[in-house]
Amino acid sequence: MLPIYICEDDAKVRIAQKECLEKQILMEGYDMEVALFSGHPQEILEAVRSSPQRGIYFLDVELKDEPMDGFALGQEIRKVDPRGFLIYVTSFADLAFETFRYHLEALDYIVKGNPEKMFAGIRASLAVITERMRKEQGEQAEFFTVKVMDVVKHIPVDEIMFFETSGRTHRIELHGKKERVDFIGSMQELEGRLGSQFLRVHRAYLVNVGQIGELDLKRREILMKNGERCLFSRNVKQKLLSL
Amino acid sequence: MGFLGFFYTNLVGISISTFFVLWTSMVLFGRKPYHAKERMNKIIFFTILLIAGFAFLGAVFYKCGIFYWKNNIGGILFSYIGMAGSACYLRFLYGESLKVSWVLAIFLQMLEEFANNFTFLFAPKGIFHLDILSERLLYFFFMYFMTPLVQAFLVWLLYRSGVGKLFGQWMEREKIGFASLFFIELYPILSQVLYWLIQESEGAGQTNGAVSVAYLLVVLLIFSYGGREEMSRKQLEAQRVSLQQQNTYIETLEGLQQEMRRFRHDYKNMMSGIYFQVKEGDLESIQNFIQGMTEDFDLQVGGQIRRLTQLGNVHMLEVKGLLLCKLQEMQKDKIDCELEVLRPLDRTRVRVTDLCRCLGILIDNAMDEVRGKEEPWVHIMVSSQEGYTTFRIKNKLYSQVDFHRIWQQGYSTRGADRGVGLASYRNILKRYENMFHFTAIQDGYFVQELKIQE
Repeated sequence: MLPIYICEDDAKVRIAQKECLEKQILMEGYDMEVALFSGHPQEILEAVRSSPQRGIYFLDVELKDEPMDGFALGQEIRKVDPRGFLIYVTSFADLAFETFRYHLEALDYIVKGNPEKMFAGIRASLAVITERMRKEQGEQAEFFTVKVMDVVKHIPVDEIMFFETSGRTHRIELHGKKERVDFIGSMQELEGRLGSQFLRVHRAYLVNVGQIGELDLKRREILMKNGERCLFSRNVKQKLLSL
Repeated sequence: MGFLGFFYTNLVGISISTFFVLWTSMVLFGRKPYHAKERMNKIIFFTILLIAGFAFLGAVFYKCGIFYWKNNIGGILFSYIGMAGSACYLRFLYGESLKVSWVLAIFLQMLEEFANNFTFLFAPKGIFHLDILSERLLYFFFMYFMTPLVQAFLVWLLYRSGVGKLFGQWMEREKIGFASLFFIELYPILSQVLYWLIQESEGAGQTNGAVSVAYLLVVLLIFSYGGREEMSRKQLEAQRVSLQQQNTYIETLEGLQQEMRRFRHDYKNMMSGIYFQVKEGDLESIQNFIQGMTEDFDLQVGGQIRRLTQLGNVHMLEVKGLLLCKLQEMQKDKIDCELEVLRPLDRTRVRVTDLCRCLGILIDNAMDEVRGKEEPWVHIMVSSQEGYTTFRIKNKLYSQVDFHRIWQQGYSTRGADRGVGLASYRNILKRYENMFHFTAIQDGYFVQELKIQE
């Protein structure tokens, strides 16, 4: 059962949201319930902290006369519930939503000016959440997670070409099919963590064996499937040939 | 005194010097060493290594008689080695460029020598016989008590007089003048030569003090001249940016006025229409009308105001100027641009010129990709919180780019003569330990991120 929390300072809107949610849960038979609706972020936080589990949160962005705004509340909730679903409700269409999505992995935002549109937004959010959770169960892909300062990046392991040490100390660059990530780490630690799918072919390279395209023995280079090249050292030649 | 005796005395002296190097550099830079807390062990280790190393070297120099070489060449040599050592140490501490560390190291050496000479002006005689206990004690008193006292006073003066600010401005300049650098570099040699010249003309009895003072003054002059030049350049730049901003505001307001006039005209017509519906009690169409009106208003009038409000959160003038300039460019090219600055951006640890160059390159990349395409869209996010600053530029992707090739110098999707952008971006990043880049293709968008750890 997924608990739903609503934080909204306008009592009328708050009640309308709750009713809409309960109706929709009943109609669609979702495995959710409204756990708490309140105008005070502190109350929401206390409740979330006392029973930490994955939840759904409808948060007002502008909370008048409260110590924190919706963004700060989201940050606090994320500390307890990293996988929950955050949906922001705002009266302005000009919400800095990219920032919310970037820092809080917010799912969506709903503009509350027009009640019909707000209800439609709520219904759509619940549908998206259900779909997400259904997909998650079937998902097999393995992810490489890396923390880059205040955010965490997830990259499918199969899409990584190789890791390269960069010129700066303790800095590694991940070369992926669709991304480049620069982070602090060490090759030894990565080697241990990633297991046999990755081979240390050179002092500076840790390669995904599954992404090797061709070997250029003369120049001692590996041509990856995406066309990138990296070096390999003499003593791994035999190992590479036997792959 | 034996070898060990020299070594131990040196330890004390060099520890004091190192302490002043640390303190003075903190005053001049106006901040603590980079990552002081996390790197505490390393810093302590290197500090001890530095002190012990130089104490040892000094003892070796003394024992081998290098200090007695003709024309004080040994002393000059030791000064240079010492300055090189502290330059490396400063670079390790603050992560500033080698040039800046080098100049600072020389400056610190000057300060110390000045303090030293100044103190010994008050000494009863110029030469101490270290083998005699009472003379040795006197020497130690001047060397290790009076000199630090004078030096502490000097640092306090530096702090109070705001020389640190001038130094910072001087550093901000892209190019440090070759002539002034050369002049500063020659300090140990030139001061020796000057000393002889003065001795020649005035006879014996002069100390190095006068020379150090003269030198110190000239160097301060160089700093203050360079620093002031930079400051006035910045002021001019600031004026230019604020003028540009005011112009944009005025243009926006004029645009709004036009918009309002058109609205007024439209609404007059629509109002008379709605009047009849009200009379007939058609509630639904009235509701629709009001809804449509508010949304229209938001859509047509809001955009420009929104961007300018967000820009107001950028308090770094140079960055603001750059963003403003890019926003205008995009408006000219009919590119739909959004800007998000949720929390105020006050400062970053990265040099402003470098930051602006990086941002310029990233935004130009985004603009070049979408220019002239269908529904061109660029999104810029600036987020500064919890000790991290993030710049994130996102644009629609139309062509299938060979993702890894964009990093190669000379590669461009836009034909010849392009493609130097990302390569020089990387070169700038290389110089900073606290800058991270992230690039990705996500759901048909090209995302470029630049993160700074403050």
